[in-house]
Amino acid sequence: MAEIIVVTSGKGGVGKTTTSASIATGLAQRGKRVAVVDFDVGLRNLDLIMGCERRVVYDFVNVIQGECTLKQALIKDKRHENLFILAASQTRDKDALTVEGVEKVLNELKNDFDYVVCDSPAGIERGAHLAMYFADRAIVVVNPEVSSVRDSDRVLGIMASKSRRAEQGSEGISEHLLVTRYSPKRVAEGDMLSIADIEEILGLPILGIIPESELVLQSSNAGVPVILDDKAPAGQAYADAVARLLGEERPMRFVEIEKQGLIKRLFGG
Amino acid sequence: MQFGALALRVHAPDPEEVIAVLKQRQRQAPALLEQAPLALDLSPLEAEEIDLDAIRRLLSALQDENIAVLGLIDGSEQKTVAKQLDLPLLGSASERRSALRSPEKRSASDWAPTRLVDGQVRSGQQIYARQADLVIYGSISAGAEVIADGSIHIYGALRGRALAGASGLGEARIFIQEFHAELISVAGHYKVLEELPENLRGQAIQARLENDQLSMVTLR
Repeated sequence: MAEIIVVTSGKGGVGKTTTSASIATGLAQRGKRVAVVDFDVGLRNLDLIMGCERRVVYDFVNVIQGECTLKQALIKDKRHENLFILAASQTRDKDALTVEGVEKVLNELKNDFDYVVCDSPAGIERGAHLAMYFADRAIVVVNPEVSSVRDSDRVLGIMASKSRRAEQGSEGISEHLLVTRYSPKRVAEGDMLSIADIEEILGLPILGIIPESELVLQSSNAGVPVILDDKAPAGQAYADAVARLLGEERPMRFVEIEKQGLIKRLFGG
Repeated sequence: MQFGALALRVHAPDPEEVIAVLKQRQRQAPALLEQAPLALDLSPLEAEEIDLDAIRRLLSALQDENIAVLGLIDGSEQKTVAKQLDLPLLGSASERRSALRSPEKRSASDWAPTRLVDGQVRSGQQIYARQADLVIYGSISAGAEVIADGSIHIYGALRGRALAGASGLGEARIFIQEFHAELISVAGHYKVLEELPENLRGQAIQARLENDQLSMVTLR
């Protein structure tokens, strides 16, 4: 049976879809069978970041409404044959998602895959709630700033009271923090919250710290999940996070200010 | 005499107005009226203001809102009213208020066991310990709210709000291991902490009423 992982945050623009794409790709690189599902009905983005936007025929809502089979809607990743994408519908709105419909699709996915990664929309409304409702594990994406931390806190509170696990009184969703857009320099200058601050306020262990980098945007635009760039710090940081998700111990990297080399100092960086 | 119910003091006998006020309260604190029995207190009204028909309409409106009315709090004018409305009388309002304010008169039967909460209270969550003390073993995030009719003990950081003595118990206190609160209140005397006093930030604090003033001092 697959584990359902929701990637969520409350706040928009913090890197949920980038994270979903990289975590799903990373798990697939490690040989797992992975399905990644876009819950952002009406604002579909995951297909762009996964680079399969021109191959979307059927979507999540089509499956829920019985207009096609799940198999027809799943798009096989062009780089990993054990990774599949279920795109959101761009033309419907979030009311097209129902608890029963989502449960049916997730149950079917659980039989075929090791991991189902749910990319949540921003906010705490229907789409976000349904994305987290059936989760076994949650990756809460947070930027080092106060509004993002507060929204994540709110989302964690909702997960603790309104998920299926909470309603059934079983063991809660296992929660992880993933800090994105982290800049050690700006933390040192006092412009950003430090890792210690975030950990203390949210009271959760950190799964990974993704350094701020222009490469993330570039690879998103190119439709290549940044984890595939194994030379980029952000890609390496995502690979570390995936390893930790699988239970390996890895030291945190990219949390110190990079020391500038002599040449960089002489000629400016 | 003492009982575990909320008193609804009726200042105007207009049912619509009373329901509107109750609904506003309910929005502010949804936990407050959950299955709470109410006692009507008509003592703010003059005898000639008491309109039996209006009160009957109020009772049926409350019933529509799923709020149970236990009875009428006894006042000078209300024996006949209670009889006409077929409601039990529940002891005098002044006696009730004095009982609330002095813990030694509080009987054990109506005071619930201490409410214990393990883990973090997160932004947007609200916890209310009705007729009880509240112990939080964990931190309270900014934007979260903990409320108790008794005292509140927080073994963690308070970044949100804590309101003790919510139904008027002036002896209630708040103990906080790590103080970063947005707001604290004891028996309705509250303080909004737009700027945290430097000497209290992050300290272990006790908050209590002293001569009707909210005082916050560090624990030694």
